Formats: sequence, C-alpha cells, structure tokens
Amino acid sequence: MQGDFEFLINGTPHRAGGVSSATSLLGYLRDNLLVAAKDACGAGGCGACSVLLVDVDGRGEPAMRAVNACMLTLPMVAGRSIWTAEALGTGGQLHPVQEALASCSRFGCGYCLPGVSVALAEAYEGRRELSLGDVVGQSVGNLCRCTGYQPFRDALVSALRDRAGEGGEQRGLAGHLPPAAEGVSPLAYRDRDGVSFYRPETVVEALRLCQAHPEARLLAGGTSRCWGDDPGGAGAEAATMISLEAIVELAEIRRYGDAWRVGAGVTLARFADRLGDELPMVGEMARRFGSPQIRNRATLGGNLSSAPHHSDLVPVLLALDAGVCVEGLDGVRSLRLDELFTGFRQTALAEGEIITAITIPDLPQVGEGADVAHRMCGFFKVSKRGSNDRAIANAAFVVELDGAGVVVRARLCCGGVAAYGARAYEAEEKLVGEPWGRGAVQRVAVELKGLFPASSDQRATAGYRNALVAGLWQKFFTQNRDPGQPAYADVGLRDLLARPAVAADP
Amino acid sequence: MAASPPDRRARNLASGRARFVDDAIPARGMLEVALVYSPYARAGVLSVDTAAAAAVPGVRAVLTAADIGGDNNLSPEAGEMPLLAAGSVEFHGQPVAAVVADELAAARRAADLVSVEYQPRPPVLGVEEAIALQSFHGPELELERGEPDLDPVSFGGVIGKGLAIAGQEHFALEPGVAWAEPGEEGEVNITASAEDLGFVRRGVAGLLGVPMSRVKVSCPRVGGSFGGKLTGALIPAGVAALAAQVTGFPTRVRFDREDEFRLTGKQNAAYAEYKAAYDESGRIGLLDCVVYLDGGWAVDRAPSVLRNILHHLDSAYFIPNVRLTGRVCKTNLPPNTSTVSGGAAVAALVAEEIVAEIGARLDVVVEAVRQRNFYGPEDGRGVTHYGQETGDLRLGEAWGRLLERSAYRERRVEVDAWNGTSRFAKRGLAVVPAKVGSGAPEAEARQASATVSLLPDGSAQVVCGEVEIGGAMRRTIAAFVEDQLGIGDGELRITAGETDQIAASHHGELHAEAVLDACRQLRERLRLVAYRLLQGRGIEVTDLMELRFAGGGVADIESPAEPVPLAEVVRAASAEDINVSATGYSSAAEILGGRTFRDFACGAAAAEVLVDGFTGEVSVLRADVVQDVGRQLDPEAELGLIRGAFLQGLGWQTCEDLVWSADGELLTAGADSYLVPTAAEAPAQFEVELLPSYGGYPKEPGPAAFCLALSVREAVRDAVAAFGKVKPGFALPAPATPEAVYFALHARGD
Repeated sequence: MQGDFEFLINGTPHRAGGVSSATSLLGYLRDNLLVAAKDACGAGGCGACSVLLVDVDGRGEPAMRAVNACMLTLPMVAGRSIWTAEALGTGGQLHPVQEALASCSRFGCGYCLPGVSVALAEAYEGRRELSLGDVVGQSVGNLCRCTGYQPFRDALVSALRDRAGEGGEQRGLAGHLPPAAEGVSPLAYRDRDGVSFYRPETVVEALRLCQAHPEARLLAGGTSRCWGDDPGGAGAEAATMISLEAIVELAEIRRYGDAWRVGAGVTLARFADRLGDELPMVGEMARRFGSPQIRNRATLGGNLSSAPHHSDLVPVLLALDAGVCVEGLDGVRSLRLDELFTGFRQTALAEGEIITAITIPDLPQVGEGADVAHRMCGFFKVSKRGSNDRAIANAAFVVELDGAGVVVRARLCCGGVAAYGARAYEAEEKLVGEPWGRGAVQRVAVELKGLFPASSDQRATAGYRNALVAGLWQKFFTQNRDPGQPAYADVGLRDLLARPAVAADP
Repeated sequence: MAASPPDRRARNLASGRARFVDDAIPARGMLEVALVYSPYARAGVLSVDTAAAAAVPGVRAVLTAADIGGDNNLSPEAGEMPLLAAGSVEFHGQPVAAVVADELAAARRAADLVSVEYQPRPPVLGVEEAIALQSFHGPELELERGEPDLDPVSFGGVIGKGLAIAGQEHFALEPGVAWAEPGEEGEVNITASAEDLGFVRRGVAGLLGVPMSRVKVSCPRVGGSFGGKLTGALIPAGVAALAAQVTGFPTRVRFDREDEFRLTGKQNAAYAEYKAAYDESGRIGLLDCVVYLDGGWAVDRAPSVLRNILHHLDSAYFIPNVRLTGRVCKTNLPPNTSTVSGGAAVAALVAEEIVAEIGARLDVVVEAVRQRNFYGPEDGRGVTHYGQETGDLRLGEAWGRLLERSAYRERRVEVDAWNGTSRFAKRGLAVVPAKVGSGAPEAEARQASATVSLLPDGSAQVVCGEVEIGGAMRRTIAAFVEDQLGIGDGELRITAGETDQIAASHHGELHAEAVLDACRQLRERLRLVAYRLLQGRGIEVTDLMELRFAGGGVADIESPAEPVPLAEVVRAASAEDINVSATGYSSAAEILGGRTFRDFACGAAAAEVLVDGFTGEVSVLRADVVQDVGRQLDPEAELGLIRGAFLQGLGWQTCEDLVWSADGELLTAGADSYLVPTAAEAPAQFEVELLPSYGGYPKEPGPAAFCLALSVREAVRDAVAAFGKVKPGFALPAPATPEAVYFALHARGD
C-alpha cells in the first residue's frame, strides 16, 4: 500500500500524502487557493465546481472532459491531470470561451461563470461541429440565476466561429493534451484514517480485492456510488473502496460477432459518441441523461449496478435486447438485462460479482426480402424539468412490422415508474400478430397502465406516472402512425435546434 | 449578439479570478461551524444537552440561545425571530444550537451528539390551515377605492375563484456565507455575502449586545441574492459573530445548499380569493380580492410584500371600484421574504387570471380585453387605486411595439391554423402587459449618504453603501458622475460595501441619488474656480450656471472644444481652500415626494409554447419582450437583466416546485430536487427590445421582466384551452408543472 499519490493540477504536480479518501477534489482545490471552482450544491447539480479532466473521447483519443469536482474524491484523480478555470488561458490570455463570456455577460453576479467557462471550453476543445441544440445542451449542467443563459449560447457560438477562422486551431488547450491516450494508472492507497482505496488493473485483481474486502464499496465514475442517494450511504464512509477505472478491458467498445460489446466502465458520453448515430435511441437517451458533466463520469456498469429506478439507460438497453456480462471469481455468466433487476435498487449480482460488459446485438435486417419491412424506435422521457433532471417516467419502444403492416416483434420498456425499469412482456405479446393501428395500440395502452406499480414522491404522483406510461406509448404511435413516413417533429423546435451553431447565428 | 469589449470585471469573473466571500484566504485558525437543526416543524424544547458534543476533540464551543448576550431576534419588521431557538422550535430545520470547532468535520460529528429533548406539537402548515385556525401575523391590510359594495351583477358578468400560488426559493448560486473576526477592543469585523450591510450591522450588534459602531461589515461581492441575502445574510453573519465573540477566534459559517433551503425564507406562497365584475366590453368594473400570504412563523418581509401585492393587483389595468384586503398567515415554515418582484408578480398573476377568464367567458380574444382595461388618460382612467397618477406610463407604446415585433396577429392566425391540424399537441400564444412601481425603498432603508472625492489628477473616488451584485447600480452611479462632473468610468473608483466608511443601507437607488447630490455640490463649488480659469485663458463664459463638465474638462457651452482640464480646476480649488470632497445625502421621502412609487416601469411580452397532450410537457418556443427601462445606461446589460429575471419568472411558473411533507419537512431541499430552469428551458428564441431611452432615472428592469414571464403561463392556458377539453375559467395551477398541465387536460384517474 502506498501512503501518497500524485496528480497534476494545471500542469503542476501535486502530492497528496495521508489525505483522507473522502476529501473531494473541490475541497482540495479550494484549500489550495484554487477558488475558481465554487462549492454551490455539493451534488453535481449546478456545475459551479466544473473542472476539466484529461480523458478520452468516443474514439479513444485524448480529450478534455468537463466534470464536477464535488463528485470526485482525491484518490479518484490520482495520476490524472486536471485543469481549472484559472488556468484555461495560455500566454497571458484568457481562454477563447472565457474572453467570449466576458464580452457577452458584463452583468449578473458572475458566480457561475468559471464553471460555465469550463463547460464551454470542453465543447470548444472537442473540435466537433456543433448544432445549436448541442450548444444549448453543453451548459445544461451549469445553473445560472442572473443571465437567462443567452450569454452562454452567444459566447460559445462566438468562440466557435473564432475557432473556425484564421489561426483558430492554435488557440485553446490543445497543447495541454498528451499525444496519445494515457490509461488510468493502478493505485493502492491507504489514508491516515486507515481507509484503503484500490484501483486494480484487471478484472481478476478487482474480484480478488472484492473477495478480500467483502465490505468494500465499488465505484466507477462516482456519480452515484460515491456520494448521492444510493441506500448504502456515502461511499466516503466505507473502510475500503475499489475503483474499476484503471481496468482497460472495462473501457473498451468493440464489435463481437453480431453484437456490440460495451465495457461496463464506458461513460455515457463515450457510449453516445461512439454509438449514438448508429443507434439513434442511444443518442436521444444520452442527450436527456443528466448533464455533460455527469455523462462524462457516469458509466454504464455503474448505472446498471446501482439500479436507480429512474435510469434512462435501462429502458433503451432493454429495448435493444441487451445482455450483461457478469464476472465473479467462480466464473463468467451472461444475463439478459431484465434478469439483472430484482427490486428497488437491487440486482441479481451475487456478492463478489461485478458487471464487466453490456452486449447489444444487432437489430434484425430491415427491408425487402427480410422478415421485417419497417422498424420504428423511440425514446421518451418526462421530467419535471425538461433537461438535466430525473425521469418521472421514461420509455423506449421498438416495433417491427412485416410487409403487410402486422407487428412481428415489439419491445415496450418503461422506467421511472415502478421499482426498476422493465419490459412489458404481456403488452408486447398482445401486440405481436396485430395490424399496426389504433385498435391494437389502444388495447395495449390500457394494458400498460396497470403493468407498472407506481409510487408517489416529490417529483410526481403515482397516478401521473401510470398515466404517462400509456401516454408515451400513444405518443409513439402518433409519431409513427404511417410506417415509412418521417416521424412528426415538434413544431420546428427540433429543426431549430438541429441547425449548425455557427451558421445559425450569423 | 453581444460584442462589446469585455471589461476587467467580466474577465476576472469568467476566469475565476474574482473573489467572493468564501474565496478569501482564510485567516490563521479560522474556526468552522455546524448547526443543529430541529427535526420537527413545531415542538417545545425541553432541554438541550451539549456535554457530549463539547467533549469532541477540536470543539471550541457549543452555542445555544443562552450564549446570546444581546437580543436573540433577527426580525426586520415586528415580533420575534430568534437566531437560535429558545424554548420552542417553530419550523423544520430551525437552528437550535451551533457547534464551533477547529474543523468542519469535527463540528458536524459533534452536532450529531447534541441531544435535544423535544415535545412535538401539531404544526400549522399552509395558508388554508392558517385561515381555518385564524393564525395570522399583524393586522389586516386594506385598500379601497370607489364603491366596492356595488352589486357586482349590475356590471354585467361576475367571476370569482380561489387561487393558490406557490412560493419560490431564491436559489442564488452562492450559498449563504460569512466570517467574523473579533477585534481587540470588543469589536467584531464581519465579511458577509449580504445585500444590506447596514441591516447586518444592526442585527449583529443587537445579537451581541454591543453598540453598532463596534460592528464592521464588509462584502467584496455577492454571488446572487434576489432578496435571499437580506435577512438571510443575518443568519450566517449572526452565528459567525456570536462564535467569534464567545471563542475569541475568527469563525466562518458557510451553508451548504441543503442548509440554505432549510433555513432561509422563500418568496411567500399566497392564496387569493376574488370576485370581479365586468361589463359586456370586457372592462373590469369592480374587484374584491383577499390575499393571504404564507408569512412563515415569524415576520420577515411579509408585510412589505403584502403591501406591494395590494399595490399591484391592478397590474396594468384601471379598475374603478376595488376593495383589496390582505393577511399575513402565521405558519410553521421559515420566515418568508421577498424575491425579485417583491410580490408584484403574485399580484399580476391574479390580475391575468381574471382577465383571461373574462376573455374566455365573453369569447373574445383576451388581448383585446387586456388592452381595453389599460390605464389611459381618458375618463379619469389614469389614476391607480392608491391615488397615484400613472402619468407618463409608456404602456401603449410598449404594447404596440411588442405586437408589431412579435408579429403577434400573424402568428395568432398561424398558431390557430396549426392547432386545427394537430390533435395531440397544441401551441399556445399569449401577450401580457406589466406595470411595476419603482423607486420605493423598504421601510428600514429610508436614507443614504455617499462621498465623492476629486483627486488632483482629475480622477475621482466614490464611497457609498452599494454592494457589488451584478454591477447594475454601479453603472448608474458611474453615469451620474460622468453627467455631472465629466469624469469617465476609467477615471473613477467606486469603493463600496463597508460599514466603516458609510452607514450603509441597501437600497441602490438611494445610493445613486446620494452620489448625484454630492456631484452637484462639487459642481457648485468648482464653478467659480473654472470660470476664473476659463477667463484667464481668454474664453468668454456665456453662462456661469451652464458650464460644460465633460471629457475630463470644464468648458463654456459655446466653446466646448476649449476646456480647462478638470485636474487643473481641482488643483486650483484646493489651492483656494475649497473642499474637493463632498458628502451627498438622499432620502426616500425626497425621491418619492409623497407618492407611493417614484414612477412606473412597464412592458409587454408575447410567449409561444407547445403543450404535449400525452404528457403535459411544455416547451417555450419563443418569447418576445419589450420594456421601458427609463434612461438606458448600458442597453446590453439591461437586455441581459431582463432575460435573467424573465427566466426566474418562467421557472416560478413551470418547473420550480417547493414540496413539503405532511410533517412540514421540505422535500425539495437541493439542486437535484428543486429545479431551476437550465439553458434548455430558456425560450428557444428569445428577443428583447427596450423602448427608446429618455432622461431621468433608470428603472430597474428585473421586477417587470419577472412579471412578464406570466406570458408563458398565459400561453400554456391558451394551449390547454385549444385542446377543447376545458371549461372557460378552468383553474391552471401555479406552477404549471407537466403533471399539473396533464391533469388540467385529463381527469385524475382517467
């Protein structure tokens, strides 16, 4: 065991010796007089503490990722490189997005601005073409009470335009990235209170550690396991923590025969980067899943094994017939995803078992000569606040028709309502063999209302949740009444947001 | 698209170099505090045992009400509002004790060990319960005009209903924070994130039982307040000061987000019950309205908010006969307080509800009913129900401009046509006016002073009580100095936010007015000096009273190109023993001149929404705002402030939803459960325009913009009605969350 570890903040090496494993990166930064990151909610909900973490993008290339410093403990950043708002500029200049923000928001209290500049810098450094919707989406993890957000949008668009212009490639933080992706290094750290933090390199090592420390808490991105509201309490209080972040195998996305195999340690952001175009439901789901800061840390395996009933990931994976690879010291087993959940925040994982991968089989061929003539897919989510909020109810639907318009295969999956996200098998069965039309859809809607026992909380009543299950199904039907026709769009809002950001605002 | 050159302040903020209170480098040995909160909304406190907590290593003191040397009362208006509970607790989360320790972790551990014996009592929760139990603070307020006892039926139509309107958490991004250092002679120096330093000073002096002159309060800048850091600021400042006094060490108190939610008052929830009579043209003839405000258990600013509500129940509409009454309810919640609109938006919500129902009942377009009821010069329709002339209200101008720039009429046709083709989603469109009184300082902030000192190089410094929040008032002050003395922003230093330099009061307009007064005095003193210098240069002075102070010089109005540098005038004045530093004074009485408000800000907004009939979700597609902000000092900033306040109003009416348990515990006490709008909730298209600038005062744009977000609520109403399932005058809950909208369209259990 080591008694200290190193990491980089703004390019400067820091050595933490003995420091409590519960110390948050945010607390450490502020104690070290790097106070641009603010402590304003402590729950990853406001973005005021955003910093950039050197990580990888969907293709595995080095990339700057915006993360909430309040949701990282110090051992989680051991060996890693962090950039804070104070140091985003180079050569005595502010970062281009900071300069643009300063031009666009000369009013307002300014407390949120350093965090906002970090979120916008991630988009600037990502060097992708962004739509207006992407621009708006980039700051949904950063709350502001003064500006009405227009300055953030204007600032990013202005900085992106500047980047596209002459010499734009030289500006920004590209020089701070390593030439090739560097893996996360292994760690075995014991803090001054005797709390151990392990970051093993292989699955087998991780499983051995689990066996040796049955009380240990596993964590990946740390967005719910480490803090948050899972019933086990704060991970910071556990005597042993095992982070799966250094296991290369868990971070891989690969083709495996007729399926995708997505490592359990893949973040929602990388998952969407890689597969969002191929599987539009995944892209749509990821846009609605938390904020960029959360998606940059939250992993597929973490989400599934902590089993929040409102998970947006679960219905989509269920609708895609995803499987789960589970490993224990006794061996490997595969589960259908719907076999994983057994109760509210409960899974079928045995003690000492971890999820290592999620498999997503290719969908059947569509078109002439195939059994399936048309496929309709949709992801829906209703939350009290439209963005960056937990689902009151969510749903993923896949319906396939034959050439005669008869349903040959259906996946109707809902989350947020009952104790865990689930497939509506009875409803699916009712649908198969029926012609795709109002009659069958209505019968299924009635069936759906009763299938998911809902409960009430401060977000919504059970009655609303039950009604939504049917409502979302009817909405899906309305959008796909005529198979083969483009789904109806929401009054141009979607079109507006899909426009390229830089051209949208000349 | 904003494109002005960034200033230093904005650069420092964007890059995180600007320091807020909690960013200060801690003094050596700064102690930390954890509070012990009441787990009951109402209970007797039989005993508080602090022994186990005090024994925790690192704990310096465990403070209870008994440690308060002065008066354990924070209330700004009337009655008792203890800092630490004495004898009983009156809301869930009320602080009972404060543990002071070397480190926060130790303080928190120890706080868990403070043992309090409670005797729970049934709490009073919600306005309706308070009314039933006749649980009120203070007397009824009443405002009458005309003949409110006329038979309403004689006017033509009568409507009436009861309307529950939710409160709102301020949710400034910076949680409450203060630190206090004990001085060597019994004084205490406080650094606090506070809007009104004078108020904090008075409150802390009262708590500690020391003269106000022994308490110094300063504030580098505030990370948002919106009314939440008035009395709200006194809680961390009071605890920090008390801890510093008892332990003799500097102490910091920093709320986390949940503390902030639990401890501080919100904008009051309200319940309005009204009867309104209208004629066949849609004109309102009579309004009889009772407003009950949830004051919480002690009196914070609820009486001021209630007065303001009664003064704004007319919104932009002339109502000849009114009887408005109001009560502040005493309930077991934290003492509620004001937010951006100071209650004006609650009043405007009621007024718009009335007008919308009249439109629906008469089956005429509601914007016609709105316009027909506007204040105007004809038939004596220019005087408010409290007797103030609406004079130069530019409502008609704003309204006309808004209809034009939003292409309202064309879009109305288009939206109706679209709705005819769409069965499950409907668009809604609405345009609403706003009229908000400005320049009415609160009772305890009646006067202010400011000092302007001219320096020998022609630059100047201003010392006043204005605290740096968003920079708006600083721009007013800088503009006044430039107007009067010709000294540009770059030559000016505004030092503010220290009670040692000025007896601070928080009302920005008073500070600006005091600066103006000081500038006028200086101009007066320099006039003769400048005259002589100009004469010495062979320039004939046309009019001694009309010298031109501009661009860092003083010139004759006929020869503006030949100024004497101001630096020279200042040095000459000093040589003649003329004081080049002046203290200006202003008072509320002077500004108001016997009126209720100095003048009125107004505007109009059009909002378009899309309501999903399957789910009740609302998307705000577009908003257009036109506002009169009086004199424009920095149009780009005014536009931004309008967007910000509009979005707060939008949040209040859509996703911000305070939910309490049946026991009075706030269930939405965090950023993940109390949902303020994000960038994605802002209108997808959001256009703001200002009416042309004119002389006189700038009018604070926030309150009217906040009220104008009611256009979103009215657009939701329009869309819900378009589904054809609701009766005219249906109740739209406030806020209209997706669930509320869904159940406005579908019967429960449907």
